[in-house]
Amino acid sequence: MSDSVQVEIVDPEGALTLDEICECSPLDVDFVVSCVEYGIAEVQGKETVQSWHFSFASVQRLQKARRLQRDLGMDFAGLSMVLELLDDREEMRQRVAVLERRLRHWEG
Amino acid sequence: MEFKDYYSIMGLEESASEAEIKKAYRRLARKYHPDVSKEEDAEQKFKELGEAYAVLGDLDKRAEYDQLKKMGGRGQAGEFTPPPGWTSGTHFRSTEGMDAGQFSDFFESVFGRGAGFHEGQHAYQREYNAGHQRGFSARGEDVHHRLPVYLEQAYAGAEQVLTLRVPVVDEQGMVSYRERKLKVKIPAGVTDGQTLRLREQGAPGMGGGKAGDLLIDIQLVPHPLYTVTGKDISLIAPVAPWEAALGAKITVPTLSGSVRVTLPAGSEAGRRLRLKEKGLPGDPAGSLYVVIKIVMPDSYSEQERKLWEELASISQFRARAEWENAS
Repeated sequence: MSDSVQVEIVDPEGALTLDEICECSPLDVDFVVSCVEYGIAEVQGKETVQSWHFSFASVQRLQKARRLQRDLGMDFAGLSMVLELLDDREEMRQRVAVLERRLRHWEG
Repeated sequence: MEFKDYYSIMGLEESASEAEIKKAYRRLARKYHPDVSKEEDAEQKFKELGEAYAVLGDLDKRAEYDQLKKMGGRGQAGEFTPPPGWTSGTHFRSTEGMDAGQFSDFFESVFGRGAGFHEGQHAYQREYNAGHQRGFSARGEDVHHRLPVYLEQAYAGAEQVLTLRVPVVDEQGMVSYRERKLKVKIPAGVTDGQTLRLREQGAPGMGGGKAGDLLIDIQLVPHPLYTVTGKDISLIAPVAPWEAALGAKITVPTLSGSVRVTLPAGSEAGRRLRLKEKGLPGDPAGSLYVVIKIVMPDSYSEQERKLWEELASISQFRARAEWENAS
């Protein structure tokens, strides 16, 4: 037997509050505040910490930052640089994969 | 039970110093970290590394392990059995609902369940575990699952049964895993890298807290004909030189069946014809780009060769005019 459940497509821009993201993942307020200060995660609604909102993509990034800090003992400056480089690498990998496939079709 | 050679997992000699062990751990943790490594089995290797370091990075456990390695009996199949009456001096009994499920049977048989969660050990397992026990009423963690989807499924939508390994918490707070089958409707028009959310299908909550969500990361399987960028699809259309020259009606396979497309006369190789809304569905739907590739026949008949020769003799076309200007 298998269960059938409702599926929704996640809106990458969909916003979560700081409380919401700290509730559902191993993130705490201090960590998130530091990440924002170092530009690791973008924040929407800037007046007070309570009014901060994060996109789904930002939350994914924060969680990745948390894992990297925890497992590799990185500081925030290192995290912000590594995440940027990882993003660049991912973007390039995807571009290369598409271009390689196109080239193969072209030459094939 | 298989004997785990923690030294070889960490690429170390048995005589390795504490500093060497720490250094090897740091280096391999960087290499196999699941957020950094693109290797298929990175997560497994990272867990093994954590287990190896939980033992070799702890003086007492390492001493025990070294002793066991020397005297542990091996069965005929090279299997490991702890010596009779073996009890671990560093055995750690969990009373706090810790879960050693992340470590191997070998580790548990030697050091006991929960032994990996001493202070200073592999943080990955520790926090993975802690996520299940934080607070008295806490929402469960979100769980990610990567799902390969064929382009045809992404186009038309599909129903797929996922088999997931989900954590279950009992009344004592112990976490175990069970297999669960879940039927998921993949909506038409999903794209590579998109995430589907199944509410409250993730890790169970604690103390009456809600379960986390199951997040399904869509990964489009490369297609033999089409390449996909977002919602747009590209297809290379081979055409004969005379079709490119004179124009033609060509039949193009799309995900919704074949369509007739007019190839304009004088089409260059690389020219892109756009078929609106023939890409992945959505609002707006993607386009299908037909990219022209001029192909030559493998061989010619005598008559064909004569026609080419005739064309060559009367044509004024200078294919390399740019080079003439450059020299």
